[in-house]
Amino acid sequence: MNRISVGTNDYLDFRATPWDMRSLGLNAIEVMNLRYHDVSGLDSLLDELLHYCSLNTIDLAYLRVDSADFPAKAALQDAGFKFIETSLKVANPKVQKFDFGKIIPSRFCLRSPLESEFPQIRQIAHDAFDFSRFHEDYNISKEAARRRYADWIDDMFAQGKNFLVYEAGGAIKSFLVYDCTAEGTYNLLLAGSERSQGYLSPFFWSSFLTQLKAENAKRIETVVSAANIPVINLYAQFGFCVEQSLFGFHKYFHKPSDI
Amino acid sequence: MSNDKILALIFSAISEINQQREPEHQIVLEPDCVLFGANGKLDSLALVSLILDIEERISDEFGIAITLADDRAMSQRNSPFRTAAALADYVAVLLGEAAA
Repeated sequence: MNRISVGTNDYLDFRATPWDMRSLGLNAIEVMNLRYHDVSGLDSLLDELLHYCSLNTIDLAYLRVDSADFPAKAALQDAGFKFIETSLKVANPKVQKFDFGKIIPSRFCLRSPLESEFPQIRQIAHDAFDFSRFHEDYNISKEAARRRYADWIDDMFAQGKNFLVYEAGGAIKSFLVYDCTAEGTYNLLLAGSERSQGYLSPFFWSSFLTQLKAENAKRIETVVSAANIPVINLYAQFGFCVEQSLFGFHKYFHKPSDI
Repeated sequence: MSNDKILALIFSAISEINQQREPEHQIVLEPDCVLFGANGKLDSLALVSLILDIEERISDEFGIAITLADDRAMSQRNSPFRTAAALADYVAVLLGEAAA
């Protein structure tokens, strides 16, 4: 993680995202944290960020800010960032008190995948999604966004994230990737079902939420695209509430013509 | 048990869904009406609701408990939930096996 500071209290943290070079052919950074106390400090931070990007031949800088952070939204647009997507942070903070199977029966048995099954998971990740900050970026082709999600599976496997799969008839139908803290907070990173069988998602969701509850999860949280209405409604059924809405912005300093 | 009788039961469940829908979102009660997928009228939550309703109606009507959405259904090459007719065919198979 790198930090740009202005004065004593204003700073932004960002990280290089080398996986975007592999998937999208873009030298990219993601701003993870933006802390400022006044508009002048915010403008200075963004000036410094743009300067850094220029010096380091960055192609793309991206970040999310709270949708109620009006100064940041204005400053980012003034600095040439384009609005790309809205996402919602949703959470169920009372997992142990919630009977997910009562909402929709938890019918599927889930298990950890075999290493040999990862190509199937990769394929589902490639095919199943229409919404994300990359799928919704009009500068990026659908195929490039899909490739990025498939590559993300490889990265999460290498990072040792937890995977659960549902298999039927010898084929993987759905998968979930998550990580968890010692305090029992589970963060759902990615979950999807084979595109032709998306109708099974509610059963799959019920099954994996029930399994995470059995693992003693106390709180489950995730981020979903505000454009993905079916998934938002699904989480709402299972007791998830919206805790934060975020606006995603992208700025291209150089964009290859073929992404 | 005839497919017609099963189809009537499925249409009855769909009619209940239609009562909560705007006129332009009504599901036409025809065997080939597409329930889910491309050109389908139901999202995944609505389809699950329909499946659970049909399971309950079958249990009430015929006294036989069947599970429509399970590993077997998910293993089918062609989804049994794509159209009302496909669903009726699948229900008939399950009922036939249960009665055997």
